Amino acid sequence: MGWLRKILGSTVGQKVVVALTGLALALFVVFHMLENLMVMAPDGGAALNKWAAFLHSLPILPLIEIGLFSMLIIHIGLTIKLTRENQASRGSRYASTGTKRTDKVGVLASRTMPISGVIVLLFLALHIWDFRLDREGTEAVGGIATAVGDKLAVWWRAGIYIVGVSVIAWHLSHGIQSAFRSFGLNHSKWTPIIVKGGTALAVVIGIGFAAIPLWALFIR
Amino acid sequence: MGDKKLDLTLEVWRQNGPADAGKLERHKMDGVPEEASFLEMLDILNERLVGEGKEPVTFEHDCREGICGSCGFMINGQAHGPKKGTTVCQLHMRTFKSGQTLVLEPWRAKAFPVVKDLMVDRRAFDRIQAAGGYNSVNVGNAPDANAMPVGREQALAAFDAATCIGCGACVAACKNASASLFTSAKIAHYALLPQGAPEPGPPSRPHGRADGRRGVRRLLEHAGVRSGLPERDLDEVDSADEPRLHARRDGERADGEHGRGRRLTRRRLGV
Amino acid sequence: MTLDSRCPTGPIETRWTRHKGAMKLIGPINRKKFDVIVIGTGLAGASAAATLAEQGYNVKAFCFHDSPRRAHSVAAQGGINAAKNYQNDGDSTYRLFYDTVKGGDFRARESNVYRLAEVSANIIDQSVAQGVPFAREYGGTLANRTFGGVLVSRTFYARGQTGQQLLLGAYAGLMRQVDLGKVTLFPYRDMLDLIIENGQARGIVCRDLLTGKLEAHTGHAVLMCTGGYSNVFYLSTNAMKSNVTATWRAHKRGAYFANPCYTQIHPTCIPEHGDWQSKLTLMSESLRNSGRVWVPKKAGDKRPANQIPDDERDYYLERKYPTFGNMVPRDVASRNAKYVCDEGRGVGATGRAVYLDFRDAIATDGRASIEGRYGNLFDMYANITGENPYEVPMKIYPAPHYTMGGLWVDYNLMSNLPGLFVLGEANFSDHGSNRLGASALMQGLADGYFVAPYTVPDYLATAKPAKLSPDADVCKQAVAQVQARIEQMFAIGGKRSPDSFHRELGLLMLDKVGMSRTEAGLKETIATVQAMRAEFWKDLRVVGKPGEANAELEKALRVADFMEFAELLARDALTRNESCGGHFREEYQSADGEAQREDETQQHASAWEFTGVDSEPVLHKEPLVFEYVMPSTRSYK
Ligand SMILES: Cc1cc2nc3c(=O)[nH]c(=O)nc-3n(C[C@H](O)[C@H](O)[C@H](O)COP(=O)(O)OP(=O)(O)OC[C@H]3O[C@@H](n4cnc5c(N)ncnc54)[C@H](O)[C@@H]3O)c2cc1C
Ligand code: HEM
Ligand code: HEM
Ligand code: SF4
Ligand code: F3S
Ligand code: FES
Repeated sequence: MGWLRKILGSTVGQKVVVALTGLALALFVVFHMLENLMVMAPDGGAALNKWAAFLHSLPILPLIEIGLFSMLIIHIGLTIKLTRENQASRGSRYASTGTKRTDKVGVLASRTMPISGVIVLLFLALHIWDFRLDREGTEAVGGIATAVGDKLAVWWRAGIYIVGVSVIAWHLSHGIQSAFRSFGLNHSKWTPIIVKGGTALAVVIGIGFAAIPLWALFIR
Repeated sequence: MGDKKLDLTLEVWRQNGPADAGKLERHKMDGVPEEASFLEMLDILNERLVGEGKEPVTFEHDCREGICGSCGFMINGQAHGPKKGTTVCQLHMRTFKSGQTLVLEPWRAKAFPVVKDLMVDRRAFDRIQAAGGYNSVNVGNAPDANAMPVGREQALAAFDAATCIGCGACVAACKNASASLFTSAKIAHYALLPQGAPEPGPPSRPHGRADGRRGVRRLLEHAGVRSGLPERDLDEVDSADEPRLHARRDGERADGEHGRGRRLTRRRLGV
Repeated sequence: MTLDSRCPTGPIETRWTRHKGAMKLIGPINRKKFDVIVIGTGLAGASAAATLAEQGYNVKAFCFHDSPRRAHSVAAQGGINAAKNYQNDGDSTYRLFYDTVKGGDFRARESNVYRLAEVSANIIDQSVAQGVPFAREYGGTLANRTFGGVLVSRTFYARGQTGQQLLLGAYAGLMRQVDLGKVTLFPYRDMLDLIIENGQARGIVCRDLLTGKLEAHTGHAVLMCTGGYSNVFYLSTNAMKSNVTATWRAHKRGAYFANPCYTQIHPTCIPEHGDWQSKLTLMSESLRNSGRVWVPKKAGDKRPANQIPDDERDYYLERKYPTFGNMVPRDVASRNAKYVCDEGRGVGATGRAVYLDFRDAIATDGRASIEGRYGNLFDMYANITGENPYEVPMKIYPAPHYTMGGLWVDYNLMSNLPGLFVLGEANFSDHGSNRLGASALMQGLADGYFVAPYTVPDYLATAKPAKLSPDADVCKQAVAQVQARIEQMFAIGGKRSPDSFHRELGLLMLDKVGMSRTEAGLKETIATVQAMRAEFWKDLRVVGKPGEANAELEKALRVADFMEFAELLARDALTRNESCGGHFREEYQSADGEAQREDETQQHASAWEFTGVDSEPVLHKEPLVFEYVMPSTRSYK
């Protein structure tokens, strides 16, 4: 096990863990988006409610939740640690910054990873309260589908959600490809495809999620 | 040929030794000849400063041909300035427009303490090299040079990695001030050649035992610890064979490419 | 003192082998008792340091750079010669020997040159084993190119960066010994004096360039591998910090300086643009294969090149040398460029450039073909000058490039001071009065890998030098003398920067002691240099403080030595009453203006002994004997 300790103790190993947890979280997000898109189905959300009921009935659900939560903690914890170490190895800051890279958007996404991450965290705090902790509220309106529709019809909350999911898309637009490089996968042919694919997936996630508050506001 | 002149404002980092806090100092540069190189422009400034009895701006330089790797600093946040594939000594003033303000700062990395003004101490690179940037052959008993054939493309690829000039721009530009591009260039150079194979190879167990190992394999294992650079130097373990793709990885990257850029500008046929 | 070259006699093929066999060895356990100081980490220094450390000696390696890898060898482009005969085109050790002696215009020692040719093949083996990525054929074997002045293809290369790759190979070997604890690196050190004890070289004085501290370092032998002195001309193709200081200080301590007037001026460099220019960049000589050299017929013709009709152009090389035309050797091409510019027919803003025109080559061979052959050179030219050489002719001008002269050494590469060895461009040994392309890298590595590692132990075993403490009185005195010189510089408090003096000296030297020299001009130069030196010590201004990183002080110390050395260079040129190789005295030319050697009176190496800054040096002559390659006249008409 010495080798494992050594890997996990190195910054490179820790970055791999960030990538693994990040990708797992991203996988959940994709899955979660598909779940929630059901709310807009013509059946008035019956399918979603049924699906939720099924999930809630799973005995291992708490385990999944704990797993998800610890991945988030690990992801955040390690990124904070690594970011601080990285800043320390720079020493003093540059007075001006610039780059020769031509894809300015990509550069910005990469540079703002810690910021976009924190915004995601804030969004999650609100979101977990809304739909996970406030079970009573959910029960009171008669199920998840209605709760989602009702809550997201409040304009400021809808606004926060739209911003929140956009920031997630932003974070993932860099995060997905970055994770592959943290694994050391770099290839003259595949890397450009991963970069494009990752960004596309991030955009799909953003649009998919944002559709829900928009639907709640204007269509439902 | 243009004999155009530029009027520029320089914001130059002045720092009197590693312990000094340092600050930006403003200098107006009027009538800079556009054929001058960036360092020659600083020569002009320095000659003026010396004339006024002031201390000139200290910067490293030697060959002024883009090969020794001595020169280098940030110009408006870009390592070696805005032009790709050039060092500051080969960056000519016609790259800039009259009226521009240019901020000049030293490479900033804890592993590269500032000596003075724009000059930093890059001996950390030598520590990396000594930690295994070699293969263990003694002088005098080498086999005939043609005894071991090396494919042309392979030799060129090894050359591409070996062309690194050790300037430190990659550390300066890396958002994590890591030396992984530099280190990976050494590893790739040896890993791509059969002469490097008995020793380094692409490691099957990169994090294995370090004892008794020398050469590039140890570089993989020890670079970070020995260099005082962040341990991320080990990053390249995985992508050793493509340092420059790796280079394109993160935010500020791709500045370290002038090693190769120089090759492109200097592929010469003879003396 | 008589000059004993210690050259072996007998058949030339076995001289080195027999000499090696006669040399003394030191047992492996005793080697670690010896400290060897190596100054300079270019090809010569890095290879010597690595090899001696590998044998078991304690090596201290010094350079003024932050890293050994930045030595000026890194800038060499074209390639390195070796008599491998891989191309099966008739090459052999003997042929390389022959070409080098002849190329040096019969002013080098046959024994040394033969040894150089003999070990050349090993250099390639060694470098390849170290992982130097030389160019390869598709079949995996090493590729070669042809270089100037020879009929075989024996030049090995790594794109246009051969020097860099070879140096990185030697540097890696050096860093391996650092890793093993056998070499201690002393980067950021300027060597400012040599310490002599009992007539033996036993140490050096250095200035730590980061802290300004002066230090004495001692050892049992001192190897100087500090490169050439082309920067006496200020503008040259050499790196900005290349200097004569190390060799000059050794000279002032008693080492003889040999043939300082043998300097090489390379014809195809990018010309100067303005008085702020710091450096000249070499363009490959191969360009003259396709480009045609010309200037306007009329002096002061300021029309753009393309508007000057053919009959108003003077293709002067083709006119004067109908056989070789634009392909005359370096010295001839350089001299003629100077002549036409002196006539006021030079082009460009400064009037010191000639055209190298590809118009006709593009018209006959097509642009693609020219691009294929010289594309990279054209790009480089365009990057530096901002002009497109496909459309307007290139402007070129000769620039100082290499110095064949250096400290006098015997066959063992030891100077007349016991214990002081001199390797690489810093010595005078192998190139006579003209170096052939791709031979300097060869010589540096031959000296460092294959010669010094035999001859230095022989000295240690024979002379048995004692250990000297860095606190000994001689060391303290030497440090104090350097200290005093530095203080003296700061005390002047004048108005002019070291650079301004360097520039002034360089202009003078290039004009009067550059491509062609006359007795009157040399005499005048000696007087002017003396006056300039006096001015220097009256009006120099060194800003900053001595006890810290101070680039101005570094420059001042170098310029001060160039100022003294320049006079010796001119004196040597004055006493060398002939034209040979890179040395052209207008008094010694044939009726058609070609160099004329005076073998009767001048077949010797001139070794100068220092007698004081303002007193005349003493000339010692080492006669040259030719047993294998008989002196003959070169002609290019
Ligand atoms: C542009 C250019 C291209 C060339 N191309 C070729 C080519 O293609 N083929 C070829 O054969 N030759 C070529 N040459 C010539 C060749 O490069 C040099 O002659 C050779 O590399 C000299 O090597 P060296 O080891 O003697 O000295 P250098 O490489 O010059 O090393 C000098 C060393 O001494 C140190 N040093 C100097 N002074 C001091 C001091 N006072 N104190 C402490 N340290 C000091 C320096 O730090 C450095 O480490 C070229 C030269 C130039 C300028
Ligand atoms: C508080 C919340 C979060 C913070 C502070 C945060 C921060 C970061 C940071 C700083 C990085 C490193 C980027 C880099 O080095 O280039 C990163 C990477 C990543 N993040 Fe997050 N993040 C957070 C939440 C999330 C979430 C919720 C997801 C998934 C939906 C996610 C997915 C990823 C991925 C896939 C990576 C790429 C890993 C890598 O670069 O190797 N992150 N994150
Ligand atoms: C418009 C967008 C979204 C809607 C409508 C939505 C809806 C919901 C609902 C209804 C739940 C409760 C599930 C349950 O209790 O069974 C939930 C839980 C959760 N959501 Fe979202 N969500 C959205 C966006 C997101 C995003 C972008 C993320 C993450 C980055 C996210 C992360 C979570 C998490 C972590 C839980 C808790 C899961 C658990 O503990 O079981 N959600 N969401
Ligand atoms: S990938 Fe590039 S930018 Fe990122 S840590 Fe490595 S070298 Fe630095
Ligand atoms: S060329 Fe310079 S940017 Fe890094 S990889 Fe080598 S030190
Ligand atoms: S001065 Fe040598 S690379 Fe710029």
